[in-house]
Amino acid sequence: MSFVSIQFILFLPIVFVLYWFVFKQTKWQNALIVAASYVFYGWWDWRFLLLMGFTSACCYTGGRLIEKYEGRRSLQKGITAANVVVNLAILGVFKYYNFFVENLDVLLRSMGTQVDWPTANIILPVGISFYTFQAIGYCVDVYKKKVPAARNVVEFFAFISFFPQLVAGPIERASDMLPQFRQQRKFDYARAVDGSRQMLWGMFKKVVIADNCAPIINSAWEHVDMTSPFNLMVVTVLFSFQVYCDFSGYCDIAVGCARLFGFNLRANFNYPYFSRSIPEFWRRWHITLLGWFRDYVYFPLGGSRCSKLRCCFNTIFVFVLSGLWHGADWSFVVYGCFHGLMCSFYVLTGLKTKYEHNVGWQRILPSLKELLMMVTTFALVSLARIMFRAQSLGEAWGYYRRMFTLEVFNPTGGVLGLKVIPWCILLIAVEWVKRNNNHVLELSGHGLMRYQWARWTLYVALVVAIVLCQSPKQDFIYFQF
Amino acid sequence: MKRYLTYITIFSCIIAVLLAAGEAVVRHYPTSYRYKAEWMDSNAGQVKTLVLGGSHTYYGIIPGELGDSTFSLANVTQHPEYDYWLLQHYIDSCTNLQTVIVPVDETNMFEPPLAEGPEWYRCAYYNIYMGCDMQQDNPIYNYEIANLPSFNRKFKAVVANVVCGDATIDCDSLGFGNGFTVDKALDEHDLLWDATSTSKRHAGVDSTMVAFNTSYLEKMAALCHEHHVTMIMVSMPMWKGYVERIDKKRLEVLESIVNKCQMQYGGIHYKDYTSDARFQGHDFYDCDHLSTQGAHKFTSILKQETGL
Repeated sequence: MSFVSIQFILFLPIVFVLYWFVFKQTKWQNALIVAASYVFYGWWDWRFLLLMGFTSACCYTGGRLIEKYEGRRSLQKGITAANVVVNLAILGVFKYYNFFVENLDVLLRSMGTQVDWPTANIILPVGISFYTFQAIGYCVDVYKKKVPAARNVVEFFAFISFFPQLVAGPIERASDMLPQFRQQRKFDYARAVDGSRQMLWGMFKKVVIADNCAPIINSAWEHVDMTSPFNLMVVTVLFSFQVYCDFSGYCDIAVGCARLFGFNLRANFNYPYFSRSIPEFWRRWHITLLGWFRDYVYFPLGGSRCSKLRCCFNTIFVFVLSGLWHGADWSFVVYGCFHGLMCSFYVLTGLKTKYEHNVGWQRILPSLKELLMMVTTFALVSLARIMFRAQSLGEAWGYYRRMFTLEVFNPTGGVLGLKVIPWCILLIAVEWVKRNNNHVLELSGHGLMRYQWARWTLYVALVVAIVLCQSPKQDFIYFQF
Repeated sequence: MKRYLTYITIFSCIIAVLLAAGEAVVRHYPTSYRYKAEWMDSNAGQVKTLVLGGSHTYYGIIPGELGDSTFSLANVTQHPEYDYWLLQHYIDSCTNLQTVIVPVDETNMFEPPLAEGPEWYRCAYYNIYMGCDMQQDNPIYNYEIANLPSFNRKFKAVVANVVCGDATIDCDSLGFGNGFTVDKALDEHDLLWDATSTSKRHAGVDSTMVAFNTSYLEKMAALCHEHHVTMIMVSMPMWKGYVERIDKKRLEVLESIVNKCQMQYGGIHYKDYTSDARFQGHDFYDCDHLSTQGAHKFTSILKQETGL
C-alpha cells in the first residue's frame, strides 16, 4: 500500500496502537513489525511476499553459515558469494532479463546469428532493488565481520521487511538496524512529534508539489513534438522538482514513520539542490544508495587510493552501475555515465568538492559565486534527468534536439506549470531557510514557532494545503526501482 | 505517550471537523446532478424526448432546440449502467415519453464500470444527489470528500462563487452542459495534441467491458420496447484528426453492437455522425466534444434528420 492512501491512514494507527499498547515486549513488537510489513507489501501483490521471504531466508541462513564456519575463510567467502549471486540473479531475472535478451539478440544479429530468445512478461516487484541491496549488504558485512550474524530470525525478517523503508529506502545497514531491533524501545514523545512533523512535510512535498507537477510533465513528454522548446525547458526544471519532492517526500514519511516506532533511519537527502558541484550533489542526493555503492563497489575497486585514471574508472563504473540500478535501459546507463564523467572531471582537475559548511554558511543569502555554482549544478542535474525520464535513448535524444534550438528562451505560446511554479519557489525558499536542519519541520522552539498555537496553525495549514491541492494520485516514482 | 495521543486526537478532530465542514459546504452548492433529479421529480410527465449518455451528448445536444419537451439527463462520464438506472428510475413517471436518445461511441461502450474507472467518485454524485441505490454499501461512494481531487475542484468553485457572489451550475434549465464555450475551445494545434493523447487512452478492446456495457444498452432497448418508446442510438461527431486515430477495432465492435441491438429489438434507429464532414475544427471544444457552437449545429441536423 502506498503512504498516500486511505489504507495507510487506517493501517498506521492500528499498527501503532498494537505496537505500543498490546505487544509491549520487544520480541512481540518485532513479530508485529514483520506481520505488518508483510501485509503492507502484500497489498500490492501477495506473490511478491514469497520473493521477499526467500531473499530474507537465504540471507539469514547465509549469515548463520558464515558464522558457523568461523576460521574457514574460503568457505565463508563461497557462502557470501553464493548469497550475493542468488540475490543478484533474482534481481537480474525480474529487472534485467528482457533488457539482456533484447540486447543479446541485437548483438547476435549484427554478427549474423539469429537465435529466438524467449522474452517474458515479468512483473517487477515493487522496491525489489531496495531490499535486495539491503540483504546483500548484510551478507557482505557479516563476512567482513562488521556485524555479527543475526541469530533471531524474526529480528532479521523485520530488518529486511521493515515497512516504512521497504519499498523505496533509505537502504539501511544491518549494523545500524539490527541493534535497534534487539534493544527495548521506549516511546519518546519528542522523537514521535518530530517524526510526525517530518511525515507531514513529506506528504506536503509529495501531494502538493510532486503530484501537481506530474500531469504537466507527463503531458509534455507525450507530446514532445508539439511542445515549445521553452516549455520543454520548463518541464525539465519541473521534473527536477517532481522527482525530488516525490522521492524525498517518500523518505521523509519513511523516516518519520520509523521514528513513531522508536527507530532511527538514515537520512537520504540533505538539501541536494543547494549543492555547489556534481560530487557534492551526490553526497546530498539518495545518500544511502551512493553510500552502498561506495562501500560495496567503489572501495573494493580501490576507491580513490590509486592513480587518478584508475580512480576515474572506478567512479564512472560505480555511476554506471547506479544508473542501471534505476532501470534496465541504455538511457540509465548513459545517465550514470554522464554523472560518472562529471565527477571524474573533479578528480582529474582536483577542484574542490568537499565543503566544511553548508552553502551560505552564517549568511542570509549565498554569495554570487555560490549562486552560480548552485544554478550550474542544478542545470546539469536537470538536463541529465531527461535521460532518466525518457523511456529510451531515442526518446531522450528527440527531447534534447527539440529543446536545444534558438527558441528555447522564447516563451511565446504560453508557459506550462504556472500553478505549480509558486509552490516550487516556496519550497526552495523554505529549504534555504532551514538548510542547516535535519528536515524543514524540525522546529527549534525559537521565534514564532515557540508558541503552540503558531505550530498548530502551521500543521493545520499544511494539512489543508494537502487536502485542497491534491491532484489525481500518482505512484511514488521510486517504487518502480 | 498519553500527551502524544491526546495531541494527535485533538489534531485529528480539528482536521475531521474541517473536512466535515468542507463536505457540508460542497453538498449545499448547486450541482447539475441535483438539479436534474429535482427537475425530473417535478416535470417528468412533460418530457417527450430524453437525452442520455456521457459528456459527448451532455455538451453536444441542446434539448431546448430539439423540442420544447426535451430534457437531457446526460452527464460527464455517464456510462450505460447509469443511463439504464436513470431510464428505469424515471420511465414510469415519464408518461408522455416518446423518444430516448442514447449515445453509442468509441468510449462509452468500452469503458470499465464507473465505480472501477478513474472517475469512480462520480458514483457519489448519483448516490447523494439523485438517490441512486447502486454502490450504496461502500462509504467512499457516499461522500464527496472521499475523492480529494474532485472535492477540491468543487470546493474551489464554491469559494470562487462565494467571492464573485453568484452560484451557478454547469448546465442550462433543460440539462444541456453549457460550459464548452467557443472561446475556451482548443485551436487546431491543441486539437492535434488532444487527439494524440485521447486516442492512446481510448485504445484496445476489452471484451468483458464491451459485454458489460452492451448488456445495459440491451436492457435500455428492452425497456424502451416494453414502453413503446423509440430509441435513437447516436454516434456523435468527432474531429477528423481524432477519427483518423481511433482504434479501428473499436469501430468494428461498435458496428456489431448496433446491428445486434437493432436486430433484437424493433424501433431502434441509429445515426452515425462520427466522421461527418459538416463538422470542422471550429465546431469542436476538444477532439471528441462539440463546442456550444458545434452543439447548435449538431442539434439542428439531428432534429432535421430524425424528425423530432
